[in-house]
Amino acid sequence: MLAQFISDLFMKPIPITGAGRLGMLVPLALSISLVYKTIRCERVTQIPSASLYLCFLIVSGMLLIGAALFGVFRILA
Amino acid sequence: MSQPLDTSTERPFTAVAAMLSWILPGMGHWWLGHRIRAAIFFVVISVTFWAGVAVGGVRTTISPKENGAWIAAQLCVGPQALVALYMNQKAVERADQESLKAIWPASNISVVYAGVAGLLNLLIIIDSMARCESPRGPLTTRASPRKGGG
Repeated sequence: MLAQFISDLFMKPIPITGAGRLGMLVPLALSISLVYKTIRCERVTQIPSASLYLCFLIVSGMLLIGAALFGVFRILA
Repeated sequence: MSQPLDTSTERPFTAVAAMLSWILPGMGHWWLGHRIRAAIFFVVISVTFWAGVAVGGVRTTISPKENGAWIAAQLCVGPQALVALYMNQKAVERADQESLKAIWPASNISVVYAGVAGLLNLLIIIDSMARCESPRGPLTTRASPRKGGG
């Protein structure tokens, strides 16, 4: 039963639509932030807050760039 | 928690740390005594890689013929990527393999997740090597400039 569940989990793709496409950006940004800040932070206690702040910066920066490009596209269209 | 190795008296082998980091993400840091960092690296890299595989399915995510250079990045995760590659070979042999292919955008997202996990592990491998070379152990702090230019 467990083996079948694991087999299905990694064999069958999960369809992603709508807001899920943007939502997938957050875990990836969090992973990058965690690894980067775990390398850079001198003390381990600094890692969670520094990672969350960096994740917020990445996601908000990407959204701003996306909005700006969308605006340019609408103007030129 | 455990202290990093005293590298002033015993300098660990750089290649060993790099190889351990490739075999299991974070294992090089564990060997160097950075246990908490090692645990974080292992969890983050493994979860990111297998999340990517789960989103796109192993047939789409780990496909040397279809993903081009991404497979090189994915293999930086280590034996976990080899396991996924083996699972992909098994999926290719299945009769219903076409139904296991992910459609856009899940196909792209899964490849990027697994590839980024590999590239992050490459960063971890380089960091473990740098920590071996550093006489003080951690390389996380930059020396602050001295006042008066001295």
